[in-house]
Amino acid sequence: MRQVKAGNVEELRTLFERYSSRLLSFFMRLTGDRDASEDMVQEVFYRILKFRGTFKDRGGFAPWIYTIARRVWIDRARKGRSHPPLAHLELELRSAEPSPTHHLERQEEANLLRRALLCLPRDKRDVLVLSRFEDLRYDQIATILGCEVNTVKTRVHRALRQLREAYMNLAGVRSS
Amino acid sequence: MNCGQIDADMADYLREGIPAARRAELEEHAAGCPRCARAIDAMVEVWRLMGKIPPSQVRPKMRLRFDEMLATFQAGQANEGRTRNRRRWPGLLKAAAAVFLLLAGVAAGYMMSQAGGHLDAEGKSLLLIYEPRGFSKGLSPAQRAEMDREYDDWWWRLQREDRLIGWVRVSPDGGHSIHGPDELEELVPLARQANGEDLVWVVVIHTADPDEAAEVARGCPALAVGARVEIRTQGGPA
Repeated sequence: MRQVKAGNVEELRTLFERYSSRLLSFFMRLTGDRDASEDMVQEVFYRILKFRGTFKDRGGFAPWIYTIARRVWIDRARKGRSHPPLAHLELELRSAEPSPTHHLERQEEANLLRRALLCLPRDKRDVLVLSRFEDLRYDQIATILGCEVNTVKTRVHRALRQLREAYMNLAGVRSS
Repeated sequence: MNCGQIDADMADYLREGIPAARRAELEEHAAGCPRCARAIDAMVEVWRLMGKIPPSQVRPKMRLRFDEMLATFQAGQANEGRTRNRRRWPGLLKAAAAVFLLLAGVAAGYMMSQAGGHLDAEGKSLLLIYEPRGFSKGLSPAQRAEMDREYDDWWWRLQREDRLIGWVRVSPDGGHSIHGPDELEELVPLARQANGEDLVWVVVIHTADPDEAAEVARGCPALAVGARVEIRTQGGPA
């Protein structure tokens, strides 16, 4: 990123190779919508170019890029373009993982949990996704969310409790 | 350890970031408290299930779109660079820059009235944002982060609307940062001098129309917390 900031924007390709898949997964977990997620990844890299002058080495690159990514997601959600069709979500899960028989149950659980995640309010969804999948420390997540570390930990716990409730509800609905 | 402390430690427990002694205390408490034991098991289970959500793979068309975006950006940058160089280095301006450097130390007052002269000559306006003294210190970290985000939104909107040329920011310790073309360096003396009156930002936009500049100024997020914005178009303060 230092090179990109210095004007060698060609080095953005290296960042794309390292982060595009992570960002795509991040947005997919937040929205369940592949087309929207791909658009948002694109938007993140565009903003990196536009705002490269504001990057500060001190805080590290990962918190910076996830701060941008989260802003992109919030901006898009504000425009009311963040609700995926659920059929699309199932299609995505099927295509992501082929279906040998012993994986069916695992797929079903993942599918239900993903739906449950989408039932959570945005501020609970993002803290869970950041803390569970993105390999970020709690202090880095606090920087991204603009809150205290202890607030992050409390939010994780509360969000997880709510996620479990949503999951159980969906599982109950399915089995009934 | 009590049940309330279990809640507080859960986030660390899940990521195995809890010290061993604390972990032992927690597990000891859970062994004697069925309610906490159930709660911990439930949280661990849902945490584990989350790990089953598969990562997504980048499709080739995404890479193509990225390549297109980067190529477009580089082409735009090359055009901008050529334009900037033509503007920046005519012989007369080179001489003016040399004179400027020689006189910079004794011409602060003059700079105040002429700051951004050649930027303004191309139809630009300066927005001088004066945040109240101590404003930043009075905010909590969360409020500061929110304000930063609102500024980011503002910059982003102005860039998308092709209105923003850039900005100069002066910090209370006298340091400064610049976002935009190199010419903005010329505004640093103006920003530094006015910093005694709480000026924090000098924002440069692509218009000499006072009404349009005022419209942009109304979007400044710090207005909501008592900041003042002064607009200087080509003809001086509006």
